[in-house]
Amino acid sequence: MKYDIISAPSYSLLEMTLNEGESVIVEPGSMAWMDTTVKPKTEMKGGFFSGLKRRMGGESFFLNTYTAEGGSGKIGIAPGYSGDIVVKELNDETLYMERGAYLCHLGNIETSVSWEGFMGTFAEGMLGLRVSGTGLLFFGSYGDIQAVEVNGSYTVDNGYAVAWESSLDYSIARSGRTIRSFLFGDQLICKYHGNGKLWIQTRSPRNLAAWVHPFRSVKNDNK
Amino acid sequence: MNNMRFDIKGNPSYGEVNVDLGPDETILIEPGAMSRMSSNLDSSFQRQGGFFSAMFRKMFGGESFFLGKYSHQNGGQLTFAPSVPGSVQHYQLSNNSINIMSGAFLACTPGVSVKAKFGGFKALFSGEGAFLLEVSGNGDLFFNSFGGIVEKEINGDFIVDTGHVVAFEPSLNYKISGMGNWKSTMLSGEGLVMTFSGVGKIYLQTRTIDGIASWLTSRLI
Amino acid sequence: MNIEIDSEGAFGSAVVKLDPGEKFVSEAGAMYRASSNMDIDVESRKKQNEGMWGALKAGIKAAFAGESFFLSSYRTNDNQSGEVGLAPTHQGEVRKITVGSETWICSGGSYLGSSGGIELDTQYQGLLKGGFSGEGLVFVKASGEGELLVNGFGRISEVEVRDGITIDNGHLIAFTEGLEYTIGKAGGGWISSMMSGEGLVMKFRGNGKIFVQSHDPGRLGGALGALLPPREN
Repeated sequence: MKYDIISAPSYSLLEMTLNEGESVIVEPGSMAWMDTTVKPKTEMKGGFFSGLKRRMGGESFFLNTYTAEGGSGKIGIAPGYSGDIVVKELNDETLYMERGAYLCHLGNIETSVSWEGFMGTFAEGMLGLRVSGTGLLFFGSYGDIQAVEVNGSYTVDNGYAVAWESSLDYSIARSGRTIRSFLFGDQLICKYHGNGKLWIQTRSPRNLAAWVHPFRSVKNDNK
Repeated sequence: MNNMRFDIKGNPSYGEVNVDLGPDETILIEPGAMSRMSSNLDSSFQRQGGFFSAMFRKMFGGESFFLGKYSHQNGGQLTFAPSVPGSVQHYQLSNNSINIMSGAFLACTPGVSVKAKFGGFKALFSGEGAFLLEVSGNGDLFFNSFGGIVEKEINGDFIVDTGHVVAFEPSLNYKISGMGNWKSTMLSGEGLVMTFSGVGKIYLQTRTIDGIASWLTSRLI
Repeated sequence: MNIEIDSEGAFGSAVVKLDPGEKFVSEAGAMYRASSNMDIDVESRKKQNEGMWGALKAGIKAAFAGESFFLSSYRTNDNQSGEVGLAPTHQGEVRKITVGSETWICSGGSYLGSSGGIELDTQYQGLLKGGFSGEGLVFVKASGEGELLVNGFGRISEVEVRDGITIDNGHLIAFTEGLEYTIGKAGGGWISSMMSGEGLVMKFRGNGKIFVQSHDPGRLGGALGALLPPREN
């Protein structure tokens, strides 16, 4: 298997060349283009229950498997949001990541919902995905990706943490006092503790959602 | 024929075009695309093509009825950019044509004609509006991508998610379909795809506006 | 104080390193990362002649318009140095402008942050001329001494005024006080403007500096908004 990340760092797309018989497992909706030798299969990876678990994590019920048949084949994979793609080789390791950051993987990697989060109204980003095993993992960031080696503690605004090594713990705190409104970003912040790597993105989907709000049409109430 | 003086800055993240218009030289640009210009330039509007083809393009092509028209007897400078961030490409037309997706059209000179290409049933069922424009004639064409732009030489068959297609040479044939059988299409999360065949050049983009909209939908307030 | 701007690619951001005692201010919600010794305070900026409720209403409306009437301020709490990372809402470049000999008028959506020595006038009324209500034209005046951080949707360019430059309002980031300008519609008449798609434009003359952005967030907002489900209110 060969791969290339093109249009980095802002509109990164992963172009992968699969040898005959090789497969890649991909988040649905991420296939941009491919050779006709690459064949898709939609399935519930790991059976019904693990499909359900993935569904509640905000990932789709199903994952797609693309396999090169009758020759090698190229496939282009990209997330819906703009930003970068990170490649991480997992060697019997565990990573936690934001739902939606998962893009694709090869090898023996399991993805499941992580309930170790704070489940409040502003829990976006706290309901995470647990990714573990051995293989090659690709995940995406909204905006640029910045890796921080945490040694002690570090603070990240809610919605900006993409992935972190399982050696890190985190706690959630409110950032300040006085005026609060669901619109403003300094609501919840996450403090990461321990020693390990933390991947941070430089944009937040929730801020974009707040910004695009007035551009949406208003629902008509026909009572 | 005078070659338009222009330069494109900001690719691949934020392509924008600066043109230096000579006396009475005219450029037609997508409504709203003008960002700054020398204050002497006159701006008005021009309806592209005859009445029927303009109506047709509005209904099917997704591009507006009207284009902004800029010129002045003394010339002037004008800068314009597309609504979505990404790359801008210049394409010189000399009695030839190119197919571009609606939404990718940015600007052209008056010698270029833009027609909606009715793809027959295959276009109607594509779910993305009948979205193909055939651009031909003589002059300059500017089109844009959402995200990075990738040029590929096709020789054989190639499958592309419809949202990722920007432009392609008319020598290529295509058909539109779902991702295999009905169940696969519904569950795969993929939209419709175009399978290209033949020999020719295709321009692809690395992001789609639909992609960012579906991603954002699950995160709305 | 040291400001490092990451400008590779399409997503600009800035990391501000503060020494003990130094203060930095930003649009509320701009902070995305910080060292754990950073104190974050929220300040509200009231609109002229209105009380707290007015500020809240103005804040909510302004927030919807993409402008924040709430500012966050940062200081370290342990007498050590610290850092705070600031990023704008949408993609685009970040630029640092030194305020001192010149006072800058900055479009509200372009204001990202400023150092403690800069005085911010968030009630800048200077643009209410020509019969325009100023609706949607939120500008912040930055004077004093220090560094001003601005963000642009797209790439940021500095343009020369020369014989006169017309800038579509969706592309204006900041300009120096003292430049002459008029506000109007792009084309000759109203219909002409509507057809050609341009909204409000500012025609500048005189001596000064202007920063512009290549893309207009309102146009992306319109294109994206049309594809999203309707909202409740």
